[in-house]
Amino acid sequence: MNQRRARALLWLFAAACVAVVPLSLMIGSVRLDPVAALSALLAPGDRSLASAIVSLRLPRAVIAISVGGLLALSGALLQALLRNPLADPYVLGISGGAACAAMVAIAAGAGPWMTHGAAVLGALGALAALFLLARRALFGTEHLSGESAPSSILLVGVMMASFAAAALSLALSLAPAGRLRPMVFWLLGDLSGALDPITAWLSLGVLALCSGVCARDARALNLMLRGDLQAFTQGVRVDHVRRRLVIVASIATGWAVALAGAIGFVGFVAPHLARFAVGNDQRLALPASLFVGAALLAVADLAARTVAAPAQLPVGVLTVMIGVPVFLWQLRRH
Amino acid sequence: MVEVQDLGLRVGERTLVEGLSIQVGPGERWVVVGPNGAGKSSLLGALAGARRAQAGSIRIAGHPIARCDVEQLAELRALVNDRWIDPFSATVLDTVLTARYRFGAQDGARDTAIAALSEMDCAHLAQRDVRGLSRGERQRVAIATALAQDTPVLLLDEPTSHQDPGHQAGVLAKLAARPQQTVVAVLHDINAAARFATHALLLSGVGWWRAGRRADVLTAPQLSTLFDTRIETTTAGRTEVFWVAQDF
Repeated sequence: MNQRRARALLWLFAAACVAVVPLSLMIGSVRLDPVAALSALLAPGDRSLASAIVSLRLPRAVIAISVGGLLALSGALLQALLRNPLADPYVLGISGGAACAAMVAIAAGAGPWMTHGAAVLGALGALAALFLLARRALFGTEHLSGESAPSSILLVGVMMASFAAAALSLALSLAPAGRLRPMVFWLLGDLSGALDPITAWLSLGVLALCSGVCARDARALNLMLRGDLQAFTQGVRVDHVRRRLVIVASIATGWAVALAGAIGFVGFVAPHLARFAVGNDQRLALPASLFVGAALLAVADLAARTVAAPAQLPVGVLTVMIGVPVFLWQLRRH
Repeated sequence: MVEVQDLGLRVGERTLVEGLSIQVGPGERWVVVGPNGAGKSSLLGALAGARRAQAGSIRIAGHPIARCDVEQLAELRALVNDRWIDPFSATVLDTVLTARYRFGAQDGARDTAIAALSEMDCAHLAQRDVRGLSRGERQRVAIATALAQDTPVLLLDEPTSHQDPGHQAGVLAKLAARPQQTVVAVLHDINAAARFATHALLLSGVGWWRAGRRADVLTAPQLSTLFDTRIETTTAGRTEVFWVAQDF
């Protein structure tokens, strides 16, 4: 892979992410021209219609970008950590824990804030369970001679995800009929509740934090791709890096699921698209995944709220409908 | 350079190595010879600091490795085994460059990597995808990676198991021509071992071991006992070669 071409593509993806924001501000059930959108953005206090619309659309665009970026980053990390191209943000059961807690909260009649809070707690609970159940793979050093740490983490994660899926079905079957619709819509993946500016900026903060850790560990991750023992002999603290990145991937997934429901497909497909473009050097592949995921989700959300307006489609469905053809087209090309 | 003191290695109930003490001097080339499952790879793992010994101590260049951190170990020794994992595509050059991790971002890493590849007759493969290499080529790339790590001690687990006769001779000759490096290698080809090594360690896997200068240790009677097979010597040209006299 040509390094200069890869870097150019990385900048292109970043530019696409940024370019989605003004588009999201202008396009919708009420169209704004660029001047109106810009003036509303610069003078948020005034009482014009444009400013009211921008104050609704901006947080949603920012949340779409951060959630897409977080899921893609999490997927890229897990695919590398587990050395398994089939891994996605759901594979460790973190999102399952978040979804379960959110379902129970919705079934109990909680509002959006309580639901987000429950999902974050559920994700943290699932992370704690993962560390407890996979503690030998995450904390032991004997795995260096056996090379089995990724597969045992994966097995524990898959079991936890299955358990969470069963608990989720149980919650759905026991929930009062009146609450089923919001629960199902949440499960399909939905950003329509994401209108709160504080949450939006917090999400960008979480994304920045996760990216910072990844930037530090990307070189080490490059070595760990080639085996734990190999990375260890070349000077990588394999167990430290793995624990840190599992926590980062879990926080990213948990936060994203809490805000947007079950839209993990972005986290599977974006890292693949990014690697098709920039190659497997994690120093480029991780940021590229983040930008591709962010742009993909932002575009999908734009489509979700405009294609069938005034009805809102579930964004999770649209990410799959956009992502699958693009992925298959790229797969044919490579 | 490598000092092993009263080393004990156990796997589950089995005792692989007991009371092993050897002194590997700087620039010496040691071969470890023994039957399958005797603990040769486990011993290399312990020397590399990747496997905890149940008893005894190991020092490399005076540093007790049990108390070395990962970075320090990476400066002292490199390890080659044949458990390569290539889950995603990468060029041969990028694979060799992983060895420069401990140096951080640094000029000249590319030249070091290319030089190591040339030494292993792999320079022409630099831009190829590692996943498309033959096992022999992949193994030489793994050895080049270890050379690029630039350590005083090189630990090699069957470094020529996938090499054709020409490349086996080439690889061992190149390794022998690095007097600044101390080598501990597991080899199954006893004739190649005898020509490559300055010293040898026979590991039985049932407790006993022999170590010393090659000529004293790699002898037909000792090898016959070690492998529980009749091994004899004959002369070919000016070299003495071992052959397995067992019928089959």
